[in-house]
Amino acid sequence: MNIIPEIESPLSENYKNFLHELKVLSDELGKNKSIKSDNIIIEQNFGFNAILLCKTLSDENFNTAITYSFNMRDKNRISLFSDLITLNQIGLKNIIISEGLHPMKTVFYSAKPVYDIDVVTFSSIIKSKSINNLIENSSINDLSKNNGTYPNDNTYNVGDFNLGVKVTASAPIDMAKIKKLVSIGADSFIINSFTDDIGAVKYIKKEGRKVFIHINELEIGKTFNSMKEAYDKALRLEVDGLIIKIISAKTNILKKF
Amino acid sequence: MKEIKNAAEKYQNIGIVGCASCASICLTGGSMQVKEMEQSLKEAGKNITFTISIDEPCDMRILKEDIRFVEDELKNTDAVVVLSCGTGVQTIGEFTGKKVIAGTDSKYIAKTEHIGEYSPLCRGCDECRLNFTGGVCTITLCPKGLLNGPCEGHNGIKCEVYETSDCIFMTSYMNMKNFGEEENINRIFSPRDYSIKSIKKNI
Repeated sequence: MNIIPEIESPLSENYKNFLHELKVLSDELGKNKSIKSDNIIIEQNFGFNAILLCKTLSDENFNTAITYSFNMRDKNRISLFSDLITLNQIGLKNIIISEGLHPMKTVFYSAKPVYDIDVVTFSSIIKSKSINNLIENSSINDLSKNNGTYPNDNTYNVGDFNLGVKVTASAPIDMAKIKKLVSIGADSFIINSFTDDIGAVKYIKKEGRKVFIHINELEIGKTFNSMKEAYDKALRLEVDGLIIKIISAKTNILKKF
Repeated sequence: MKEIKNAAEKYQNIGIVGCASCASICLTGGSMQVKEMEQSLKEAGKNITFTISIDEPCDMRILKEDIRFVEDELKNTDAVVVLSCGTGVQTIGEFTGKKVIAGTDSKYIAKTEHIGEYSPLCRGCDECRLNFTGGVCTITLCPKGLLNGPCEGHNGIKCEVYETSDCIFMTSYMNMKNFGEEENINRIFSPRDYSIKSIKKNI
């Protein structure tokens, strides 16, 4: 089972220092025979442009695959489309999307929350490889019936992506959302913490998609006594990996595993 | 009050208009609040040229009729403090040609639970989806305004942002289940069409 670090792009620190730290982390992960890690997720939040960072990492020939993670909070459909074109052109095919933490839960308390489109709709657009739904649109359309009559225009083709989606799996409505995302064609599901009590993991695996558990490193020592405890729990669930959000290089829990 | 006094700083002769409809029920623009506003502005050294409560200042037909009662006073008025929603403020500003000062912060279109207690239920998006959502508006009641929720941030059944409130998508789901609307549970809404709101000046 994989352990995958998820790291926000840096704020004020020099990104070259950040890259150096990341290389150290990557090398340590490579040396550590007790864990397997072949992927690093770079998350766009407030910091340095994460697409640029992912591109830089790819160019530096890291041993690990790079995944770009972004949210629906900060960008409208025009900007998201621009991101897809950019990602496609520079060959970054691994992406994870989430709705994103509401601004009121961040330091940017008074920022305008965008949420122009949501994860389900955006997934549908990515997997249909076209943004026509974003250009010519009637909002009462039911995308699950694929009943749009849009021109086949390659200008708006956004290419293929290996799409991961962040979900919660603690209530029946979550299961309904997961089923929609499966039908749309999402490739991987990242379940927010160990809250699965509705068979989501089994369902996703049965449908042939990858499933990961996502935790914050600060949960180690609180929700879990140790990193190993979290790892073993993920192992028992038979998921494909445990994604650990690294809050800072100083606390980096992976160094202690 | 501080905001209103700041906005009125440059103006000496002030008229006050209350709304005897919605703002009156909300206790923000009724005759009592008009009196309180008059008192506060007098204490701030302003000369109050008139006070009036208009049934619905957002309705041009009523406004035209009622404003005649203060026609003469209006001529000697520098600015009008309006205790109504933003629609009333703008309607009076447009009709009188006077500087208008908003006396309230308009929040939402709401259901009245009791006097002083209101529940926002509609944002007037002009594209109603209530027939497909179990009769609850997720655009208004989800802080993220999602159509295809819930988000990944909810905590069990509680909202990520308002942690003591239930996630509206849980209510929506339960209603659709109870009404036997499986087809609506599986529906994927297309993105909102914001051109509907931005193109029309008048409906």
